[in-house]
Amino acid sequence: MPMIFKFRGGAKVPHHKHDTADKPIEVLPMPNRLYVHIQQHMGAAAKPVVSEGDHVKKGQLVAEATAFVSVPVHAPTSGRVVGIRSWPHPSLGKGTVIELEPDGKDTWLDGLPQHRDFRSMTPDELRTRIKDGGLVGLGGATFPTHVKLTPPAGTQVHTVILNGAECEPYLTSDDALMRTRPDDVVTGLEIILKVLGATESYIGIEDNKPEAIAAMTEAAKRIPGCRVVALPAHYPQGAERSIIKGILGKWLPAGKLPMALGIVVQNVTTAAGIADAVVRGIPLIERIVTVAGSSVKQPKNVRAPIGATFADLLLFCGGTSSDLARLVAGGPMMGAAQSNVEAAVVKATGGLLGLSKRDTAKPEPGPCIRCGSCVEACPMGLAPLDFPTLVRERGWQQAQVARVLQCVECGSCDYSCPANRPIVHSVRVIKKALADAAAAAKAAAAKTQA
Amino acid sequence: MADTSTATSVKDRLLAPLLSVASSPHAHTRESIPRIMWTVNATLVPVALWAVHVFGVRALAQILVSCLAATATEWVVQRGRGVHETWNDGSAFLTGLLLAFCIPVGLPLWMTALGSIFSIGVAKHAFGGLGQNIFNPAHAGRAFLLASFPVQMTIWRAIGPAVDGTTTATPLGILKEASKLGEDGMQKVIASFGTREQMYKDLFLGNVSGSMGEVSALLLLLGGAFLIYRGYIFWQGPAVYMATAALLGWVFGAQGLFTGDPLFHLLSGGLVLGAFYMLTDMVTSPITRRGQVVFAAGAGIMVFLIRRFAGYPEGVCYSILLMNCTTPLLDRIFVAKAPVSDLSPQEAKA
Repeated sequence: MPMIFKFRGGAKVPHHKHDTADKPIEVLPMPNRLYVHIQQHMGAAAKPVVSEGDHVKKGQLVAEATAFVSVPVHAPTSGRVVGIRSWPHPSLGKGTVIELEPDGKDTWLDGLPQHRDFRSMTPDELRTRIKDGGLVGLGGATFPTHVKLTPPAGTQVHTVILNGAECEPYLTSDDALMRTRPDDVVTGLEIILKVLGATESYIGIEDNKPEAIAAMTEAAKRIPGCRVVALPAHYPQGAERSIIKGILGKWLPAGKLPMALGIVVQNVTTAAGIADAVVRGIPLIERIVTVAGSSVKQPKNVRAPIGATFADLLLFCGGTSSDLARLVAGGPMMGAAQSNVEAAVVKATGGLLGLSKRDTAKPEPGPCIRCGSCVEACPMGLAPLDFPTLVRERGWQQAQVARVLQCVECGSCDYSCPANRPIVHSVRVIKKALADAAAAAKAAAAKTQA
Repeated sequence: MADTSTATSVKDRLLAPLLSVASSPHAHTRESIPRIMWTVNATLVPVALWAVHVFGVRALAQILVSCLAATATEWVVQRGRGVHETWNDGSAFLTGLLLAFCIPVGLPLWMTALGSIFSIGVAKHAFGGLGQNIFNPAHAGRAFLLASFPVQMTIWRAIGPAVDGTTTATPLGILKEASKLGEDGMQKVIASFGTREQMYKDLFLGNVSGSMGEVSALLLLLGGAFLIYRGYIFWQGPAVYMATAALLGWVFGAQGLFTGDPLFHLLSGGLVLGAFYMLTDMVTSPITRRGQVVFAAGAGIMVFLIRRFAGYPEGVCYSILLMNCTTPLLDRIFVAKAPVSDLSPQEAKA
């Protein structure tokens, strides 16, 4: 039995995965409208290349990448472009969408899907196809995948870790993917290894997904030396630092990127997407979304086109019960609460949760009793109890700011706090204030120069 | 057109009430301050019952007066300050209970009430209320009473529901008096119990005079074990505290090196109560485990120094109050230590 390394802190969060864990993936019937956001990734927004009235085919480019850290967006089905407009976004509030009226024929772009052998391609060709496929980190961070696969000159990546931990409660979309498409995940891993010239590979999965572990272990046999590691199901095992620690026993200090140590971590769904893009030429136009939570009548794993609204998903899952209090895009620990049901699925949307008042119950905050639960819970070794107090202060010291910026907002402290202190929210307020101040300073500097 | 019809049908079929929006996480532990505080109170119920059994109904009166005065003070002060009212969260009640546990059972009830009022009104609220106080309120109240009423605070009623109010010296008191006279205190203590084995047994089970909550080491250990099991306290603090005090008591015995009786030092006085219920007070102890270990070791040394060299027979109360002063310092040292990076020097440089 290989050694398993435990990361520091974390929280004992109930898993709540049983509602969808063993269900087959169901395909969402094509909605009568799709709202495809042009900002579905970290970095510069894509630029629309279609206009009102255009007819597009499934898989056709509808918005192009505008920078190195940017990815293109593709039509999830064939149909007519109704217009380009503003529409609710799951994590950004509002964003620009290409509104598409599906024609019901679902006609592929000419030549798709194709079949190509990735082994005959050079790393640069592979990287281009990955970028052209619109791939981003599908674990939620949405960092453009091709950027993560482009190490700076002089850096040799030797180890690739596929992240199938899926530590967020309720979510089983990565689990469902690993159970149903293990070969595609492994193909994606082979492609990543080839792009980077890496030789060592691991697939990390939390031990509450025995079927996925079995499926991946079987599929991974074709990569020499690839090891599937069953990790303890402890939140946040799926955070990049936690999974590196869990598998390699190394904890990356704040400010250090895995790449600097020759390590690259990719999500399993991203890996399957890489296989689609490279081997079949299919860009990222759909994904599995776990629709669950105690206020969702029929929890399911749904394969949904990018751009379907949350209303479409909820209606497909039998609607919501009257005790629905909060709608969350993503998992309960890091997901974003929605103010309406109209926001559209983006590449990062791995879950849609209808939670009741009871699920989200958090009484009014009281005074901190310095119990230390947050310090125990923080995987980064911070003192989260200071953050809510810090918000009210003026003139933050460098050291304090540095600590806040190290916070990864995993929510372990906030979850554990018996005084219900708004810790993560405080961190966001401070980070926002710092970003605003930096932007204002930049604008002022630009003004003086002009 | 299609949009509005979708929206209407959605509203009809989703039955969605107003959605609440908040920052993540959208899940929360079932733990809460009232739950923690009342649980700690509950683990002390057996100790309270034993005190009533040993000392009679007078013990019950002390507990009621102390808890009531503490809770009422909390209510009055919070009302007066116009702050968030938490008088019923169990923390003031706990302060009252712990204060009752470290005073003599025969103390006039008005003094007990005064001690409680000091604990909550001064030691807790003058510093800003729950979470802000520097000193453990119950121990601060005891120190206040000891300074104000030194005679009444050191009259110990003999065990048993004594109607005639027989008083006696505590084992630590006997030891202190003997050492002042240059005699072998341990022999006197053992003589007061009969045999050494009987002494250990009585100390452990609680057939001994002293303050109410200090009598039964067994029940306190059970309560403390439950708190550790629930994750409310870490075992390291109490263990280091008791081990340090016992070890030093053994090494530096009154009759020369290694002549002390470690088990006696462990079981007598308020060491066990202090270890599990005062030293571990969340508000006044360091928030990291490492900080708590240093804190506990320091307090253990204090206990020994006071018991062995100072004028008081017992040192638990002052050991913890003195170490409370160091909490901000220990937090500054031990908080904000990033996890060990496990990287080799080459990797760290990369």
